[in-house]
Amino acid sequence: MKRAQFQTLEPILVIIIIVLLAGVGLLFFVNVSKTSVAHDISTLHERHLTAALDRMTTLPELSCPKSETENTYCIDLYKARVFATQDHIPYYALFGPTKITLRWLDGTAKELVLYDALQSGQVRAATTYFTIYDPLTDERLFAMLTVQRDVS
Amino acid sequence: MKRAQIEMIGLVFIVLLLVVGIMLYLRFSSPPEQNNEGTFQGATSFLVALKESAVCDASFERVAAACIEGHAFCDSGDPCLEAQLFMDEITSEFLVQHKFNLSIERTDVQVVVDCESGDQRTLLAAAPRTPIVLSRGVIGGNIVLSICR
Repeated sequence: MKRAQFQTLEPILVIIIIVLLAGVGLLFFVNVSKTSVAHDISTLHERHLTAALDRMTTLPELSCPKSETENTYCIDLYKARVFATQDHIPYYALFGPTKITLRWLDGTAKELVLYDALQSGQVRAATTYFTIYDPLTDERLFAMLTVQRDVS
Repeated sequence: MKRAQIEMIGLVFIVLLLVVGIMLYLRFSSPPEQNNEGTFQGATSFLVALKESAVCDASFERVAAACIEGHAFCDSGDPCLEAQLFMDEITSEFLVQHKFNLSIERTDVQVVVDCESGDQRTLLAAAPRTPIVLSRGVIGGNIVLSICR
């Protein structure tokens, strides 16, 4: 290629390089934005799950007698058994499309589904630990509350 | 300024842009740090629940305190054994998805699952502790739950 031809092509090459650089920058920006949005969505789901757990563990319908809640909150096992048999529709506004399961240890591990409005789809879960009060034996038992939420 | 010098400055400018771009890419392309806050909250709630749970017709905290003080407690008379059995039972049921080390300070009572020794700062996702109040009203140690990565 002659020098004169190269000098003619030079501005075109510069433009191509600038366009390439801008393209790479744009791709990078889109990737970072996608990661950021995915992270925000994940955080939002976490907050929904935590909020559902907080609401369930402080629901007056399930609360222990006052004498048992001086230090920390707990759930009354007897009330929880009654709650599990109730119609869950009035609680949809509080818990949304979730399934909330109570597991506790009383010799063996036992399980009770407190609320179930889970639709089919992708599910995320969160867990918290607390104690349940058994009024029949007047004992506090180790328990775990798991909430699964539809995130699809 | 000659044309060659201007072109050299342009080249340096492009190289600088590339370097800044690569640095930005490395900075933002690394995966977001794991959320240890949730792990810490979960481990803390586990410890609080454990402390309040009933063992030998008393709270686990009282059993742990008797173990630290060396007092006879429970039907077996060995509070350390009862605490160990209860911790084994609880962790095998409720902490199955974690690597952890659950222990009562100043005793040999401990449950360890897959927690490797090494630099604890990099290994631990969370390590909350809750105090044990002894029979004379002073804090005699802690129950510690170290959740490993």
